Amino acid sequence: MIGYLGKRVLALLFTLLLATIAIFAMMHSVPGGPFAFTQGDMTPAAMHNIMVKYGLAEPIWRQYFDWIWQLLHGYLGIPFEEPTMTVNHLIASAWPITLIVGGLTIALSYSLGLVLGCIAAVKHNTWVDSLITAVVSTIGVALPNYVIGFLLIEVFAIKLGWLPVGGWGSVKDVIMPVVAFSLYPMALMERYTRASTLEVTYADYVRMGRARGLSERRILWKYILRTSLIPLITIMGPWIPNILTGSIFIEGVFALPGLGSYFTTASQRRDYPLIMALVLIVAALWGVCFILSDVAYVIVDPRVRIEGASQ
Amino acid sequence: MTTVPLPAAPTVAVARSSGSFWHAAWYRYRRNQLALVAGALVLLILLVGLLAPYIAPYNDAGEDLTSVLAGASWHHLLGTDNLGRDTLTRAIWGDRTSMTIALGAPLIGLAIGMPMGIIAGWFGGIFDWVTLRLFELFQMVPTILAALLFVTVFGVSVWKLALFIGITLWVGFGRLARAQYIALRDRDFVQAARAAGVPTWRIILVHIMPNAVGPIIVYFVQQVPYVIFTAAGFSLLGFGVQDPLADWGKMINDSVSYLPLDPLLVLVPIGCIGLACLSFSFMGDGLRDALDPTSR
Repeated sequence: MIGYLGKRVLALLFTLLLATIAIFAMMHSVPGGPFAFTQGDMTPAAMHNIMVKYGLAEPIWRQYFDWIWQLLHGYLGIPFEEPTMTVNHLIASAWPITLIVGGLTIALSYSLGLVLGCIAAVKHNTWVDSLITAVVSTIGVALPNYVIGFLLIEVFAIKLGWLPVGGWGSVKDVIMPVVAFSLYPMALMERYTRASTLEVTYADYVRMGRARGLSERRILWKYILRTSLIPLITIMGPWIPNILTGSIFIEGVFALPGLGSYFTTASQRRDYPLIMALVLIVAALWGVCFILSDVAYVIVDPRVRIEGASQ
Repeated sequence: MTTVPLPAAPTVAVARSSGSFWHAAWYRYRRNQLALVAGALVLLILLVGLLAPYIAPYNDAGEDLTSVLAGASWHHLLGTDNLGRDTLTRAIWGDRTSMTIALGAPLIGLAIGMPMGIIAGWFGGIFDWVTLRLFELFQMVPTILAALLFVTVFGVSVWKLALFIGITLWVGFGRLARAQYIALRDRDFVQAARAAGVPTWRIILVHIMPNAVGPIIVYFVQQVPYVIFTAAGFSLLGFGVQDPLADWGKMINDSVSYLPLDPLLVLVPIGCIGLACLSFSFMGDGLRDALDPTSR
């Protein structure tokens, strides 16, 4: 197990290295640096000074090694747009917002989706099932979350005036982003829970359990749900980092100063250190969660074994 | 005496040749009413986009500052925006833009992913190893962020948007094609073709391809709502297609500040996005049940 984990982590580090090289090269491959737009009317000499100050006059490979060297010391550089801060500070202030919204989104959508999916599966082919499936798959899967966000703003902020339009500061600010962000993962969770529960419901060993006279409750909880929830780990696991790193659309619509909105402005302004830091964080988190969901799978499902691991 | 209705003739025969497979698939699809309606809507959406220059009541970029934010009337069925552009016309042209991207992006993903998946799945060995590592590498890059980065770095146009979103889609197509070719490469009909001396390219393209395309078509259609979502989202944030082109996401972005004056301005594009996403999504579900009956 430890050898396997080590191999996976090594592969992840290598991947991150390649990904950062690729993004670094891509950003620098186009003409027009980060200061071409904001300080465009400077004399070449003044421009050169700025470039030297931020280390942009060096050859690209040198800049990359400098960046890696800083990174190894836990320092992510200075954002060009806000030179009085460091990228570390910026992320430390932005990520909690994204994490709060994302964490609440996961809690809400996964639990609600699970419950709805189970209900739909247990009440298979009744009006309850069709209602849940129709409403959830229509609203959740088909409508983009920012569209739902706009509709929520229109109704609850403008028409009714119950909730603030956007921004960050009070507890009320959390509600609409979380609801809008939750609908899609909730719908996914509902669909997969329903599908995998139904699949197990008609399995032979469940029929066997019924034939032997086990109680319906025991069958549902011990025989059906325990098995049917296994695939959800691999399906819904990878969504966790996705949600925790925020949605640029949700953060844009509700004007949340989280990671996503920083990524939007950073990529618009070619704020290299900030872009690199954000990409690194997101990619690292994804990678770790992929590994964790694979490990969780091995723990939960005794039929799955790691290649090369002993029994 | 009551007549017992006989079950319909068993049209769903075992799929022997590809002809009867498609026949059976169409039979299964046809019985799914929701999928039929969704399919008809998809056709309608595509037709409207294709015929936009002929059916749009006004010129798409035609600004008319004498009738700004006019509201719904007989002249402008869905009202006008803050520059006096007819909302219905913008929605129809927006359909054209959105569908170009929505179909173009998965096509690009398919064009990159499928050959890689086929090579990995068919030849195996080192090809497979390299492709799998590439999958892992690209899977780690957040797709929407990558597409956004491309857009901001390389600029934007309808085709560039399709290209950038499409590039981020190739891994899915690659994985699917690889899985299909691995599953099929040792089947009897392939062995027979090999024994008969059929050249490899012909086995790959003529013998295996028709058996492998089902799930790939399904995946293609399922990607369309995602692309509509992403492309409209970029426009919404101001990174998408630029004036004078119309796009549903852009229409929301243009008129969200006029929402209190005329809700239609935002509701029309939202309705279009929702309808298109729903139609493709249900059509995808119907196709999956029809083409890939074991995957339910």
